[in-house]
Amino acid sequence: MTTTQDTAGLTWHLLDRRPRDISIETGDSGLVTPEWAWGGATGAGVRVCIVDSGVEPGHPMVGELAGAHGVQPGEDGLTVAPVPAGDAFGHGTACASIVRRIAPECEIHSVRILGENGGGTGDALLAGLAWAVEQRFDVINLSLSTARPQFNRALRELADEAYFNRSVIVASAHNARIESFPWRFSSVISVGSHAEEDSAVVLYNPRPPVEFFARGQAVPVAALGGGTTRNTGNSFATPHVSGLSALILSKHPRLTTFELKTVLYLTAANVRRAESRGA
Amino acid sequence: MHCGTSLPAGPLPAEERRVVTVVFCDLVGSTELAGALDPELLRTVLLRYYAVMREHVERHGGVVEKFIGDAVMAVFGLLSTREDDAVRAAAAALEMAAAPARLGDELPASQRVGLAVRIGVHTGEVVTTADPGSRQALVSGDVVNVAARLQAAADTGEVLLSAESVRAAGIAVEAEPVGALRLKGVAEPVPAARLLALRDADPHAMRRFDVSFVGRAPELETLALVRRRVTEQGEAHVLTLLGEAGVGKSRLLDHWLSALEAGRWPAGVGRCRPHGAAGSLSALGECVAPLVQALGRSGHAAQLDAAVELLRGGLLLDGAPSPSLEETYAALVHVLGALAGEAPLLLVVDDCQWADPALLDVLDRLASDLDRLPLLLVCAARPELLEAHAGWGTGRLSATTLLLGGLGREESELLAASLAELLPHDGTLLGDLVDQAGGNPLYLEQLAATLGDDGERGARIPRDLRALLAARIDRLGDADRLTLRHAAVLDGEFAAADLHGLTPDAVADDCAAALRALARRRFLETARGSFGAPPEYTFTNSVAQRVAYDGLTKRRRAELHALYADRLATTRAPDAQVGLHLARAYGYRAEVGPTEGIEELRLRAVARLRAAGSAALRRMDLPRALALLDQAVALSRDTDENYAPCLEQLGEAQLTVGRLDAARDTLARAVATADDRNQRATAAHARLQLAISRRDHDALVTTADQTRNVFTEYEDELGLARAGLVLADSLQRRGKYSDALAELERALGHSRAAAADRELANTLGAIGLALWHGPQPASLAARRCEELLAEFGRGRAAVQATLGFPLAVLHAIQGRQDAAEECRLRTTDAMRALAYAEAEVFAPLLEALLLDAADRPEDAESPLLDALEAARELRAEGLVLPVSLELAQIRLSRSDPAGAACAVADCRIGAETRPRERAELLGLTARIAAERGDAAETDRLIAAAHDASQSTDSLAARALALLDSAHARKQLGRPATATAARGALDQYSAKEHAVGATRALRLLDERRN
Repeated sequence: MTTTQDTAGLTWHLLDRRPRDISIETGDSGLVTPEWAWGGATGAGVRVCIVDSGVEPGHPMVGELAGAHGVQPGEDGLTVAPVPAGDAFGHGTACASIVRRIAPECEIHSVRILGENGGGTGDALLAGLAWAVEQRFDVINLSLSTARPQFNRALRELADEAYFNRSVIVASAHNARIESFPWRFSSVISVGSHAEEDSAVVLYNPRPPVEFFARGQAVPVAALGGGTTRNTGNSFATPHVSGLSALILSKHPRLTTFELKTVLYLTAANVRRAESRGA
Repeated sequence: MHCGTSLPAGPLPAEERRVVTVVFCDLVGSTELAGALDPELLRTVLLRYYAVMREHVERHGGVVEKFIGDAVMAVFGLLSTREDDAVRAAAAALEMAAAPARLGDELPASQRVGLAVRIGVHTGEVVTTADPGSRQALVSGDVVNVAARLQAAADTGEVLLSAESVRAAGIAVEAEPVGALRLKGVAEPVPAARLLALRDADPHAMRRFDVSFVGRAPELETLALVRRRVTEQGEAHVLTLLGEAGVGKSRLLDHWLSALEAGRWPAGVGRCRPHGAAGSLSALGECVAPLVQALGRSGHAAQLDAAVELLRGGLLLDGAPSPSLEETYAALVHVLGALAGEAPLLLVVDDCQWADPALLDVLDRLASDLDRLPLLLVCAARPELLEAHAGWGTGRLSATTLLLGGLGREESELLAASLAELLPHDGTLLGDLVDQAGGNPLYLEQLAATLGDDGERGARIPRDLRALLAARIDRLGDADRLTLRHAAVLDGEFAAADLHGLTPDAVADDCAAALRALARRRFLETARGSFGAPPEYTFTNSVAQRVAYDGLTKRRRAELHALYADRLATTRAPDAQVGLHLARAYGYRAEVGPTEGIEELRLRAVARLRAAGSAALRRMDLPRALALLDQAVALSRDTDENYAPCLEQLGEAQLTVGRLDAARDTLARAVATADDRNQRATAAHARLQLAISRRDHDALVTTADQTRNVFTEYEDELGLARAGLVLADSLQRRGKYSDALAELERALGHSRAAAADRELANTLGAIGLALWHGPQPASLAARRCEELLAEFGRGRAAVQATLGFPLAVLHAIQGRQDAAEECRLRTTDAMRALAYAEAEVFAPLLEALLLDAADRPEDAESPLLDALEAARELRAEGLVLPVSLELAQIRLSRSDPAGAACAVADCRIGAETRPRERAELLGLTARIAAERGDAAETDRLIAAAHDASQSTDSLAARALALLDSAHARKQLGRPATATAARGALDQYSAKEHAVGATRALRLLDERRN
């Protein structure tokens, strides 16, 4: 059903090519269009969780924060508890602002797992993600990963649990060409960067492991202290797909993760329908 | 080139800050001892005790600073810093704790007493002289005090380490935490640990060998090549692998060996240890041990029995050349010769910079004596191996030296990525780490670990890294070391000349040579400079620069920053650079003195920082302006003449960047301070900014009126420009374009006089709007736009964009489509060059306006939708309305009233809505109501649109209201449409709005037909 042009060497990002270089033709009848998928949608009613460095409260580009939690040491290892909203590093706030721009009316929650300098532990990732999956958020944005293989199995189990619970984990591919997790799992939606200056362009990658590309170069984002800036990296491509997923789920709340991923594929800017759209 | 000739004569700045470890050891129960022993015996015992303690200290490279009664105070790292000073101190302390028991045993049986000590160890920074010869009795203060108090808190026979010492010694010590101790004379509780044992510091335990191996393809190729040569030609070969600590020598060899093991090359691997930590030949013993063991399983055992037996009694036992070096060597040649005769043999000796001369001699002789056998001897070492043994590896035909440099940028990023346990995928994070590490994997590893720490990033350099670099710096000669420390004060790239005036000539009379030497040792690298110019240098990595800098005393830092600031000032360096050095000079002087002249230093720093901050603000480099002005304010006192102006500018910067709360706070302080000091112009500026920040339109106009009087009085051109802009904006909001234009032409003069770029650009933008919407005939308005563009547009993309937009529209409404299109293209380019997000609204809006004027409404729909989406994405409500209005207009002109209604469905009239837009929206909705056949609503809306249009002097707005009324009446089948259409024609003609006039005429014609 899918034909691709020259796609050798594509995986982590699409910075050296254009969307037309990975044009894909599908035989689908054309019922699933962007208009059908998210036309008129605002993300209302969809709960998005940013598992990251926290989110700055009251930032004009983020708006209302529905909840702020953090990973903390407890008696039996790490636990997740409510914390005052805040972000000392800025990464989570930047991601939240992108989600907000795409899906203006979704609910945004934050779980802080990163430290003040952006570092963190695999254990914190496991604790934060496990909590988010348990809370059954509709969309979980993970603009980070761990390269330590010892967390691989536990992360995979969590990702599978989320997959079958209709929690969509949207996970950013690493910027460097190394293996890390959980974006490598098939149960999550993995995102890398393309170089288009267009937040509306989401591309399907015919050569996974990275499944989708979104805008990740000089993306306008919220900066700490109420400001704005432009950031680059797969971190900022990912919330584009999280936001788009929130839009789709607000219009089609009963979609499973599999179905959602299929909708993202069919509506990707480089996937053309032979009948309805033409070449 | 002589450096420092300009320095006034004075004592040499011969002091440095260095990290030392102090061991404080006291004899337990010495008073009882004195009572129990005969005085003569006591003296003998004590002398023996001192001698033994000194022996242990010196064996590990420490210095006995003094004996205080029965207490011994030893310092490690005083004469020269070594990376493992804390480990050495712990090793000495363990031996010192065990020694007294043996001393007691040496006493005559009748007088035997139990001797024991208590020991405290602490690590910290001290100030010493730079000259090692005079470094005695200088260690005092807190570091010694904590060590002594820890000693007092220790149990008999126990060694207590402070947490600092435990961390400094790292993985090499095994210690059991005893909690935080409250020590006499020490303010904070001191976390301490009981020393249990030392571990062998194997690099595999110290370093992260679990991450994937990165790069090094050329080096691996060389290793493979040499190996093939040894195998094929059957000749011995010595390969020396040189590289700085942490650059990855052990890792490279480890990787190479693990690949080799599959091919089963017999290999022995050994490692030299620092100073006295093992027998002199123990590295070779480690190499040979596995080979000998393998021998036991082969058939040669019998022939080699005697030689192996001899080695087992010495070399293989503890690395000692026992019974003698010659016998050991003969046995080695015998055994290794036999092995190499069987199969090619590989010996790897790591950390050869610590090798005992005897070991290097043995290795050298082995390579010579076995040169006809396939023996590959790999020696890995830091470059200082060649300093101690200059001839190593030379004079031999079959020798290779491989210099291992840093990793490339991409390789570094890969390594850093796999080192961090959890990493956000922000593109800049890894880049920052890589910049700091300068390609050294160890630095990368340690810096990556700091990502997980809280607190300001980059504020702290990991301890191991600091120790390693401090040791490297300490091994430099005095002149090179001082030059390096002084260079650490400089910014970016520097040449020898930049050190003029900083380095006393007695220490470094040739900076150029010192810099070359430092580049050879890879502290510095040469930057690309122009041919023939003196070479410029930068630090290889910022960590080395920080450690070199930290070795300067604060007093010296203050002097150097001040001297460098003076030099920069004479070379006309930017204010910011000079100011930041002055500020640092002041900061250190304020900490450690002297206070003489310090006030002048502060004022100079503030003046430079403020000047730089204002310049950055004028150039709209806001983050920089904020940083500089923040510093200027922080350094200021409220009694300073410049305090209020400084605050005012900081407030402006905060306001411009959108930090409203901070801006209001700062500006309110500026108003109060300026009022107190009767600085009226400054107070007026602050008041105006404060009013702008409060976003209360009426209050702002009042303030602008009031402050304008002050500005006039003081002939403050900038203030006049700003007040004029505010008042003009207010006039435009009320639709008074003629008055606004007059105000703006005056503001333009003030902006030029004040050389205020930002105000100039804002004024020109506002003039463009007034010319577009105001009553001036289009041709005159267009000509004025062109004049202004010619005068101010060159090189100013913002001006080209803000004036180009109305100019294109003014051409278009006159029906000059070609000129309009040409202007549009230039304007769009200018917008792109600016990279403002708003360009995504303005570019398609302009395109649509031109298409509409060209009577191609069907093509205007798509760019308008783009503009609308961009405006919504930017949450730019002020832009959504005009775009929606234009969209509704073109839909109406295409007979799509439903579409038009849809376009303005969300548009509401508020207090902020301008009369022009108010009239247009009302007129549009009137036409939509007429389409519905709602006559009453239509009449109401037409009347409202008319009223709104009468409150502005915009001819086009008035014409449009009339035209809308004519259309609506016609739709309702009413008479008297002609009056309105004719009225519109008159107004459009007065504006020279050919497109509008044609539309009015068309309506008149339709009526006639």
